[in-house]
Amino acid sequence: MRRYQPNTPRTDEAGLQLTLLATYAPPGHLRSGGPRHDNDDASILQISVEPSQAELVCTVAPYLPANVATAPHHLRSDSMERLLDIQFRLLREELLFVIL
Amino acid sequence: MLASIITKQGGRYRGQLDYNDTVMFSVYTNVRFGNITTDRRGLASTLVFDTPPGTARNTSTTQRAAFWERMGSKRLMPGGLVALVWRTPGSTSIYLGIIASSARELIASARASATTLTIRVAFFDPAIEVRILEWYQREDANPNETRILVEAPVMYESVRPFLEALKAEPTSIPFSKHLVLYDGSLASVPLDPPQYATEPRFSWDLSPLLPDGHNLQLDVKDAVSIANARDVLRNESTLDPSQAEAVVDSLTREVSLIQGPPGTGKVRLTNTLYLASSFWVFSELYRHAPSPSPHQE
Repeated sequence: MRRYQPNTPRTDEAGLQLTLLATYAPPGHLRSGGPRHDNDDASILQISVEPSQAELVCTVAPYLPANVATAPHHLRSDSMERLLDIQFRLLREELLFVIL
Repeated sequence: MLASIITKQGGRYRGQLDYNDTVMFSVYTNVRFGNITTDRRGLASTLVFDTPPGTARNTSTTQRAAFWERMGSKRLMPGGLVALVWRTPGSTSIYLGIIASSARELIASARASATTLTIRVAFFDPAIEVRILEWYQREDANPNETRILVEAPVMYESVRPFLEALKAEPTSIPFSKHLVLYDGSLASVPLDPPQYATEPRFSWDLSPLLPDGHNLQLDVKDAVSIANARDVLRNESTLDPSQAEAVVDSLTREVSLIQGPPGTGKVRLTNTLYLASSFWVFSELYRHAPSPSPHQE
């Protein structure tokens, strides 16, 4: 039985970077084509925790930033705003993905 | 599959999440409305729907009550998330809400009837209450509507407060330079002494750790003082070498983690640190207290 050989760390990281860059679509008005729905915003202060009607029926993939310093993000790296933004979006997605 | 659930007047629906995962939703059919009540959360709408098939429909009152007593923390629990799906020929709307009624109310409604259940739901969108009032006025005259209640396996109320808290003012979060994402190693972030310890007159009084009469001060700004404190604690205190190191390391850094297997004295150490900081607080208070003067009122 062949033993699985994982990729070396450098290959994984480069691949991850490229995937994140290729699939990156910013939140709210920063997105070309405008916000995905009425609860999509660049600032988490404007996002209500409960999903809106439009958000429930939306078929576009949501904005889910990776929790990695090198990932693309609309806020400055090494800022507290960015940390809170990522934590809010990921936790909310974990709470609601079942129904969205 | 949904059609068969509607025919059987309730049941479980399996939804596909992604390639490997599915999730089970409980579906309750034939939703009608009762009173709109007020409680500390706001408005709550009363919903009446079919009892799901199985044990819940047992003809014995005690059996039905027993079923929901067992299920009370897993299905239709207070604080759980539900979705009312309201379908008319023209459109389908989804209204999310939190269950506002208690387990006791649910069990009481199960006792009262073998065919229906009654709960109260606090919906997020106030438009639903208007729609319910319109439904009342029409006296449910439209037979082409279906209303089902879907129960999501989500304890909404246990996560919501954390999400609200994350909307905090970013500058109010302490230790931000240690928490934010870095492109690099956290080891390169300087670990300063606690801010209060860098005040000019501040020093830790470690005398309580030494046998009676001995005095030991630790000034975090002075490397000689730090080295001296380590030596004295190691040689003269009742702490063992690793504990002595831990005391000095903790008092000279703004963040520290004390780790050890059971019985190594972590709690004792924490009390020691607390004692050291309390002595500082008391001595500062005495230093600043006004001395009584016969010439003042």
